[in-house]
Amino acid sequence: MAIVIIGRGAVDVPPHLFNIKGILKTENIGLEKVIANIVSNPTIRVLVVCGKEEFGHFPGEAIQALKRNGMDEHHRIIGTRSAIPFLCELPPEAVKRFQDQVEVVDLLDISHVQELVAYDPIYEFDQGSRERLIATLIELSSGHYQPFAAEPVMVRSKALTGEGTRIAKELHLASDEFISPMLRLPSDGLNTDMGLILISEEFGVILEPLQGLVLSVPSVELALRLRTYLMGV
Amino acid sequence: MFKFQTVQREVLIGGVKFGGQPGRRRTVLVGSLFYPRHTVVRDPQKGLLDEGRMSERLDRYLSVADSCQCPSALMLYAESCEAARRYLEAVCDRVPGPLFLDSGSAEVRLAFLRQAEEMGLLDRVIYNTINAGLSPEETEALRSSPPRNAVVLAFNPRGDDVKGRIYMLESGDELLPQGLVETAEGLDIKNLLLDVAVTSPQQNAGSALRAIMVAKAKWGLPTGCALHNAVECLDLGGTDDPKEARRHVDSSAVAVSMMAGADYVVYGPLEYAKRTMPVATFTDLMLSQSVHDL
Repeated sequence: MAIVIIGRGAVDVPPHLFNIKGILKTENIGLEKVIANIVSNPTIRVLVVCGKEEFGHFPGEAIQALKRNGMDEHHRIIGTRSAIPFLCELPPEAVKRFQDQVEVVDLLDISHVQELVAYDPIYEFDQGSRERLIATLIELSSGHYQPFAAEPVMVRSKALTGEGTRIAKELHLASDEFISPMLRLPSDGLNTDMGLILISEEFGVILEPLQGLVLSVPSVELALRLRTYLMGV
Repeated sequence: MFKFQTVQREVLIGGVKFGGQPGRRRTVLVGSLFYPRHTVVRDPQKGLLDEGRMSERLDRYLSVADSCQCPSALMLYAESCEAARRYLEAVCDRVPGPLFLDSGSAEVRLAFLRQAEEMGLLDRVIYNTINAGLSPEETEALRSSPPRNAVVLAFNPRGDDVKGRIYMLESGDELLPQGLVETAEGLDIKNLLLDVAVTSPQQNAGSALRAIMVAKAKWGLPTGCALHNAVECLDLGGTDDPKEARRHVDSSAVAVSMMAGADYVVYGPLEYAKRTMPVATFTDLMLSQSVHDL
């Protein structure tokens, strides 16, 4: 039994009711880590998605869409409103395994879906949400799930092995750098459709030519998607 | 032209600053002295020198460094412990700035270092190099008496591409238990310079140029190279005047390295300073103009 909480939600749940619990903030690298964890452990047969859905990222919706539709040949999750739903580091077999291995139980609270004013807020589950989660877990624990009858799928990716805070910081900095030219007056600088220059895919180093900036990113592919999303180029 | 998002560390060694953003600092030029078959050396085992010839060469070197206002350093190469001592004595009061201590023998490198310590030169000297061939004995000797400054060499016998070089620095690439940067830091060496290990054009020397950018993006440490090594191995037999052609290629190699972001460039024998320093000064000027609004 795995519990994924959308956003930085906190909830106290009796430990015998689950095997692993964690938070999810993004529909790309964050979700990739969740999937990589799940498919590496065939004993996880149920993924309970709870917490408050986040506007824009829609990571909860992305999980449902991935389970239902999978991803296309560009590693984009099919059929979701999420902002940058690319699982660049996951091989198709890992996604297929996720679809086959786990049942996704949706306990998401969508009544709070709104653009968040505060950056990355921490929230507590209200009493009703907590009780609903515990009741569901008790009901599921009587289900006698057997381990998935196949070897674990191991996803090896440099982009996913970094420490979460560092990955988030690098993406945050990259986003700032992509956006800053848009904040200038058009007459104040170059404005072209030029792409990023690749220096090293292996080590995640790119050159943003508009500003002549050498950037470190957790995944070059994701940085490209992020820039396209943010700048529309 | 470009700048690095990663903060670039600047270190001061022997009064010369290494490292920083391209175009916003002068590139340090490193010339070699007492290298094999150098005509100022009369006996490489005893370290006997042709004093007159050496003095004349050093005067010319200092003159061009002064006229170009070029931050500069010397790479001293010794073949014996005795020679190491004599070379340091011959140069330390004659030439200002950093002195790289180089030898093919670990014993001589360590003797160089001990001699420098005895002469009170530890701040000025740079141990060349911490590399994949570091033995347990050399490691222990360095641990008990670490240099203040050292070059970490990215040479990787398993891979001559960018990945090979960076993995050697980052993880040891399964040849070593850890990356060489971590090894050097563990030895308590205060100032590290990275060298992306140029070999020959047949051994993918050009990939060292891109490794400079990757290394500076990853660690922000002062990073340089000796692209001169690749020029030495270049076959120029088809040209009218191979000797003359090689001089031009050698000078160009300095500019090429600087355009890749090198913080320091090892340009070969110090006699080449008269050609390479004007090239470096011009390239630094162009780089500074190109990034002034970055």
